[in-house]
Amino acid sequence: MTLSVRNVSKVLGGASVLSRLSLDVEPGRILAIVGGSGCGKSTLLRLMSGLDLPSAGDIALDGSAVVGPRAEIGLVFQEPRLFPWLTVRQNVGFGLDGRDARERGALVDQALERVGLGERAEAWPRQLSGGQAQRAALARAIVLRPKALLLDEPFSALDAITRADLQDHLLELWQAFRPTIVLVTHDVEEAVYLADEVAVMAARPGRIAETIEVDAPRPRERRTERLDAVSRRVARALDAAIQKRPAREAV
Amino acid sequence: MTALELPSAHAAEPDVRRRGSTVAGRWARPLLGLALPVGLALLWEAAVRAGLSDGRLVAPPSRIAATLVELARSGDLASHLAATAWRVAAGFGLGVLSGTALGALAGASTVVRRVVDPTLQGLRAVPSIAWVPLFILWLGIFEPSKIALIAVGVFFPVYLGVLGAIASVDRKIVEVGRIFRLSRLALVRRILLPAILPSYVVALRAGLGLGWMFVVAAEFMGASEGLGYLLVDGQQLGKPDQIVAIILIFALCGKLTDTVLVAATTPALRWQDVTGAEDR
Ligand SMILES: Nc1ncnc2c1ncn2[C@@H]1O[C@H](COP(=O)(O)OP(=O)(O)OP(=O)(O)O)[C@@H](O)[C@H]1O
Ligand SMILES: [Mg+2]
Repeated sequence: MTLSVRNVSKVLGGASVLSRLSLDVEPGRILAIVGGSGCGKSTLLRLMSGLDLPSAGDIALDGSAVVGPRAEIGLVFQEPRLFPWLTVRQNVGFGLDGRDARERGALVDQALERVGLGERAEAWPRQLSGGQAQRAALARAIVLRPKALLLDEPFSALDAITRADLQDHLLELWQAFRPTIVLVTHDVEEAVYLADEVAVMAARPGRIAETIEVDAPRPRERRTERLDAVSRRVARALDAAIQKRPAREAV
Repeated sequence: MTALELPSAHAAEPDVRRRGSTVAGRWARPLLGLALPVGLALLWEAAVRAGLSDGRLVAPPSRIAATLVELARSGDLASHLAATAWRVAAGFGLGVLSGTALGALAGASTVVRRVVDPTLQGLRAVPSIAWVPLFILWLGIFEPSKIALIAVGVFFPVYLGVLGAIASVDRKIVEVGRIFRLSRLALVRRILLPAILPSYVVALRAGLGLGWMFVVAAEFMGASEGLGYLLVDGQQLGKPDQIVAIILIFALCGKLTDTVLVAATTPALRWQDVTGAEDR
């Protein structure tokens, strides 16, 4: 599904958090968003999910305006936000309420397997580590196979090996269902490895400073010359976007 | 390699620790808690037997036990206990129903809260016993006024508990419900109710405790039956052993009903206990 954001502004608590921001994600593509802390990445994802409405501008999915949460759009919050009174299995199956028990169980098992949490299915959220909770939250979203998947730093609490593992699981999932994915991350290499395109955000007000195409065929290998070159470009753009702020404020 | 093994090793740990502590803790803790009262009772019994005291004002355990057996055998205990239990049940039921309904309304609607809450907070400042004369004038000296007093005592902790619980529901978790496009009803049933349940149980327990407290006050004022009546009777006829016996019955009833309430709600609150359960 095409996700399009047109001249979107958002004012929160009297401050302009996003200003005239535009971007497009073509069906089945992966867009990564990088940017300094507090530049408005989570705010943007909330708008794209329909959870909040923009102060100005339009957000559309395949041409129809997003004015509230939709079944086709999945959002994984920056925090796991699991229901503490449900087990991991019940949390993951939360959105599958209408389905019959067998189908539901199979889908949940599959999603848990994908995020490597099969063994913790009966645990309570309180018993999970930060990274396990994050993975359960991811499973809760992917089990519904949304056509557009919005991920807010989904791997930030994971060690390097589990993180690489989950990145590959995400790519497998993407290969299988081809959802349109928007992924917020602080990790430039992660962005470049996963995405077709990387959007670099600048802060105050939040806007897209630059978008960089990742022109590398899939399946990719990590840390090839080609990806490293793109990473360096993204890192430079990110530096510039973050540095610009004090310079502008000094004027 | 080690990093991949870490999650499962970490995961097994809490279960092992819990199992170890429950086996030792299940018996050790209640026994420790019993040591003080049982020890004091034995000491007092010994002191009276040794002639250090005549045990007239505070009867030794053996005489209290004899009084209890006597009360139980004559059937008095059962009928008085039934009268009191019925009053507590009726007052608790009314208080819980009204407290829950008003608390939920005030929690759900800002308008209702602004209209109702200041008045209720004002009424709460009135010592509940002060209502007694009014209730007697309105409802008469018999059951209705007694039950009304108990219901008032139960109402406030339940109302405040429900209102506070609704106000403190995590907005972030409610947002997850919105992402899943739950209807209002489903949001209440699947997210608000489970989120509120722990504090609701705390409020119910507080209300139950107050129910047992207020039944005594109610029965002090002209009852012809009930455990409170036996207390007054013991005072007027100079039977301290009967008073202490009834106090013991009250302690048992309070503890027992609280335990039943906790046991009935434990299955739904199991998720809360997975950490820190040892400290309770
Ligand atoms: N409800 C709100 N009221 C006022 N200001 C807000 C609100 N929510 C967010 N902000 C502000 O908007 C800005 C962007 O917040 P946002 O959470 O989108 O940042 P972010 O890019 O996701 O940051 P991070 O990388 O740290 O997660 C921040 O400066 C934040 O203080
Ligand atoms: Mg954020």
